[in-house]
Amino acid sequence: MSGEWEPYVPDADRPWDLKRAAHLYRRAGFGATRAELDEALRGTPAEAVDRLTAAEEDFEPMGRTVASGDDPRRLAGWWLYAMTRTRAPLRERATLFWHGHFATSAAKVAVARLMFEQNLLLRRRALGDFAAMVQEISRDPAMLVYLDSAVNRRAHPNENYARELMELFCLGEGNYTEKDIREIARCFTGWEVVRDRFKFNRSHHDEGAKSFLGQSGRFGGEDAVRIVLEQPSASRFIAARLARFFVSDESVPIEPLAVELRESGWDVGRVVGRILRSNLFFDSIGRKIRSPVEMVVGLLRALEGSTDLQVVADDLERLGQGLFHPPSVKGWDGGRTWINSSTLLGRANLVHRIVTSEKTRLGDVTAADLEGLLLAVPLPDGVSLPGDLREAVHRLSVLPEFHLF
Amino acid sequence: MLLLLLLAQDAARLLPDSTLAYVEIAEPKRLIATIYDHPLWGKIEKALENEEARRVVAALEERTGMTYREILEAVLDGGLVFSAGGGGMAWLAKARDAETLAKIHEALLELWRENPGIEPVEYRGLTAHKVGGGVVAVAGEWMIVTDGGAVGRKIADLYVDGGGATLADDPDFAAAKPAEAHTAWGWVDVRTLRKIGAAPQLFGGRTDNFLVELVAGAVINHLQRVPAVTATLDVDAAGLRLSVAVEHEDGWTAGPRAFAFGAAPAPMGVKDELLSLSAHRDLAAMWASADDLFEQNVLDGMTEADATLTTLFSGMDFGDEVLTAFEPQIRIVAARRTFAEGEPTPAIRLPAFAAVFRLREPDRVRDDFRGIFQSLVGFTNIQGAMQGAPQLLQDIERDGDSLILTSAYKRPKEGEPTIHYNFSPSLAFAGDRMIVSSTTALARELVGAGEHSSESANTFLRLNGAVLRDVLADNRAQLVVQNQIDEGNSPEEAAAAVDGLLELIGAARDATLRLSTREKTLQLDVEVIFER
Amino acid sequence: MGITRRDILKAGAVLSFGGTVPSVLLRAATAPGRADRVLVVVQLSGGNDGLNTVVPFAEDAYRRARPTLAVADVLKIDDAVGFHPALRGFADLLEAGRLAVVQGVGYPEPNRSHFESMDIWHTCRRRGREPRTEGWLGRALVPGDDDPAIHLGGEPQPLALASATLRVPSIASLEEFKLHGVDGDEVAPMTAEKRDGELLEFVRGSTASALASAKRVAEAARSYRPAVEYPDSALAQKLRTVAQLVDAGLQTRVYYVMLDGFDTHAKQADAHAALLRQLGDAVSAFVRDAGEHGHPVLTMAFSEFGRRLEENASGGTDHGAAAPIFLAGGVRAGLVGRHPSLADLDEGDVKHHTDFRRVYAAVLEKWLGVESAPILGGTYEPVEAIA
Repeated sequence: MSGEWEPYVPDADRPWDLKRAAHLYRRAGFGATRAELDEALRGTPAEAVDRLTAAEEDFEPMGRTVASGDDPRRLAGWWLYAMTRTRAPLRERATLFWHGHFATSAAKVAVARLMFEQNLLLRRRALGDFAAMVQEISRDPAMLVYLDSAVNRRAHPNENYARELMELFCLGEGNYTEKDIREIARCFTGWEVVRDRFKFNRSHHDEGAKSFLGQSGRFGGEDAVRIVLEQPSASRFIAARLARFFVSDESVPIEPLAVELRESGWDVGRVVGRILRSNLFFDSIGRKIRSPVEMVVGLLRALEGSTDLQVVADDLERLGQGLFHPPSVKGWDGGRTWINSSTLLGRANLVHRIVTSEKTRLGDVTAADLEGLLLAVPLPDGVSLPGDLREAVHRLSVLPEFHLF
Repeated sequence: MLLLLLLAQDAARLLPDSTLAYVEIAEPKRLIATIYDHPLWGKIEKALENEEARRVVAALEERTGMTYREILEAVLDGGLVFSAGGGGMAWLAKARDAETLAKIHEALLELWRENPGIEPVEYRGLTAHKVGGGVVAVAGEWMIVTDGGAVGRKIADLYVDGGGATLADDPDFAAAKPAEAHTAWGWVDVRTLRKIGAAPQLFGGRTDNFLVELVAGAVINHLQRVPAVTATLDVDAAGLRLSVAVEHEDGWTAGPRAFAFGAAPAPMGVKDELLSLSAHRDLAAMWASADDLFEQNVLDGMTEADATLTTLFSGMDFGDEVLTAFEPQIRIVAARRTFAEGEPTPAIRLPAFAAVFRLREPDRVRDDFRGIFQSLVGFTNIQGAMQGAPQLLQDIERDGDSLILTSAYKRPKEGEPTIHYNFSPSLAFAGDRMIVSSTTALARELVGAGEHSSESANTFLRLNGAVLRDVLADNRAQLVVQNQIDEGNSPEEAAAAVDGLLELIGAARDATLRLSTREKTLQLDVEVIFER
Repeated sequence: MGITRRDILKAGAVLSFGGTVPSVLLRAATAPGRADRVLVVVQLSGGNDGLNTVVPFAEDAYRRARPTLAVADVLKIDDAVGFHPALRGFADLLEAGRLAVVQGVGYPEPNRSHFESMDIWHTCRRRGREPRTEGWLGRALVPGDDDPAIHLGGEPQPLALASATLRVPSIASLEEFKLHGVDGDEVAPMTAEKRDGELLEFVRGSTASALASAKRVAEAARSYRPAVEYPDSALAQKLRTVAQLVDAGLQTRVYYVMLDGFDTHAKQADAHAALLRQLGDAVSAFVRDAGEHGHPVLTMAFSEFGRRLEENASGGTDHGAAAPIFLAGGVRAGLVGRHPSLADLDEGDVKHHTDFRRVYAAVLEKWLGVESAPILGGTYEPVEAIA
């Protein structure tokens, strides 16, 4: 099975058809309209991926206005707006991935502007240089406030950031020791947040020699990040996270992706491009459970729908995926943890609220189009949808097939 | 004139004598003309527009060969009446002629038949149709719509039998009919509502909502006594005037709701006034007679609030010491703020607002309130310091006998960004007046402000539409993104919606509300004057 | 391996196309012993004045320290202590053998900040010493078809329910447990057939359970008849909803509700009495109702700290330390432990003699049947309070 990450080449058994194009757009861009899919099918799969990775659209000015209102709830509405409307959905999806990876919650940070600045950081680097992203996130005020690391002095090094840097952000458990944590914590001493801004306070920095992960020296925080990323486990850890997000909740072979990450100098966009072009990707249709955000945004994008997104944003928080409000520094576990009685009822009721809202407008779609646009796995024989579009969407949301993509 | 009386008699003869509320528009045609011919109508129509409505209107126009306005005028030519009670709600419209009405009715039925759920109902030789939750029937020149309640059959009985016990025979109703012509008038049988135990919180003894009692205590007081409420509405191109009246006797103002009666202070004018509220409310008396005013759950809440507020007011007992320091004349003022050209302004620009109290014994309590103000600012600073927020610096301004305690956020140091704030909380004393203001500028203005024409009302509210428009326009960028998110609109759609709304708001030059007692009536007058 | 409720549900769904599974069948299907036991936590936010709740009326030191706030006319428990007269509900429960009062509960080096102390009660961990991402109840939860715990109320979710593996819903009303705008019976057959593929079959099974739960909750909302009349208070209405959900056969083990307002720094007397009345009457109605319906329910009421012995100058009391905890329902009734001494104070506060984790240990081990040491971060001897 050496061809897993090799590019998918359509053939008679696996043709480049509506089903595969819809899969690509669901995973790489939440969902697509019939017109977008038809457009994609006129070219090759690789061209479709190129279009997705190259697209750009700027929602920063709108976000800045929203953030100035200093209500993080409204920021969630803004981000949903960007996700549902953007011409560059892959960047939004990748930003959502990093938000779950470098999870930071406004429930603690409280200052909308800091959450917004962090979001800008994540979106700027979402498909770029991971090493640069870790350097920047290490001095991101929202992150440091969230991890109680806004004060970090020589006499009392705060170990929180050092621990999460290795456990959750770069290496994964088992690839470092408690001593490594203590030593790296010393590297970050003097890294403070003063009046919502990052500040390096030399008098609080521990200038002494540190020794961790097999290296010794008078290291600072930047050195710590660099050395952590030199560990072989780092690229494997990130590759596995990316594969899980874009391909399958179950484990897949990741070594080729890890190698590419390392050799490309941490070029995330390149690895994501490789994933999206691969055989494994096109063989993974229906192997993931939609998160609440993926469900709603996918629905609205496929149906060219618009609605009151603030209501949706608030509902998403009740369903466990409040944007800017991840439950803990671990982010969202995803996969099967999204599913239980109350979330399934909540999902169907959220879709019901959307289709019955006076503010909801849907594009020129018929009930007959729904299965092709929204479902990765077909409905069983004997199950049919109502003829009315809105009723059909709602019915679909109650059925198990709807939650896979 | 004759025609008006005829309609009232006509419709009232079709309504059962158990009817509890009646609203009549005698000449809808004139109202339709006022609305359609108003320069702003185009904008309003656009704001109200939605796809479904547009589709129905277009289909109806096509089937009848009439414009929507012509359809409305034909159906409502002889007047429109709404009634409630007697077994449900009903709308009765008297059309220009039976033939045109039949044509329009047929077109409507065809449209409705496109959806499931419409079914004919036969009763005493009349055919009605169930549509959605309601029932629609046409009898001669009458079009009757009900909510599906028993009132429909009663109307049919009266129509077919040509008589019976009708609303027209009710002497209270007959007496309520106004002598002059109005765009609309209405009547509510409060006596019967009380008798059948409707809305006990309103018509019974105690209320279960503190704010409702505070705002409408006087009205509630009278609703527990009067036989009926009558109202008239006049609309023309210049504005609209709504007047609601109930009977009044001087002896009724005693008792637990005495706190709500008395003359309001004269409103104070300030520059760029957004809102001015003057009212007579004896808060201390209200607090003291709480046991007779409120249900237990509100009392529990007040007990808790009293304890919290006493803590907040540095240990001064809120009910016994704080509230009793004030005379019952209360004023609240809000004004648009202007920021200096070229300076950075807050992202959301709030208007300044202030409350003006009169102190019973200014010399005795002034220092108590000064102390409370200073400790509240200090408390805010301690809270703020824990979150890294900027600090408020206190200062004192004296001018003759007046005194202003100011607080303002510390200016940023070199290299830090300049931030302008919506708040510079201030407390001022001038004569027997105590002014609590969100900004120092407004406090200064109120210290020097004269009191305008005296006000005989009990409650007086004035809202300036043009200033409200400007306040909202100050925050236009926020409103546009809010509209994008909340309405799912594109940036262009959102900008158009916000600008349309601002224009509409600006069109209401002045809106006033006045509650007053005049000899034998307690009257609520609402007036909106449109910009020409 | 007995038959699980899920198997029964599946069988029922196949046989009757999602029709109601008789609740008798469901009850018979739950494992014997502890599987159907329910814990209801009532959090008294703000720091309840334990000394005016269970009053040491016989002590001079009490009356001397509280010249205006000392409670007279107590409802005597024994010759030394009695309930505040507003706690008629608790007195009745005690008489009926349904209430245990664990006295003098707290923890070493008491913290008098609301937030910090509440976090300690919620997580059983001290700040800076260990990570505090999970709550004690969150650690005890086991995933199942239905939510293992539910927080009823509009306030932010308590840290006690935070879990690394599960998400606990906060719901404001029963409506969130119903399926809106579609007839569940019409859809249920579409989710009854097994699906190909493990992931899809997992979601299919969960969907069938969700529809069955929604149906049971909807039926319970229609048909539930409380055995007692609940007071009109917010707390009582929340507990009534809990009773309804328990009766609907939801497999939820833990319910969490809050009553706020106990931070009585000024003019405490009336405000505190109103809160205690609400608490006592609501819990009493709930315990009797659950008892009549035969549901094994344990209710625990706690606060983040008690209050200072000496009253302050504003007719109130300031933050203190030890206070009593109340356990109602399936308990060994009566007083547990002595009233803390009024002579031996720590900075003006009565000292604890029973660590709150010993009460948690009893709840976890004796009621929920869960090993307590890993949850509490140490071994604590359970207090003798659970039947």
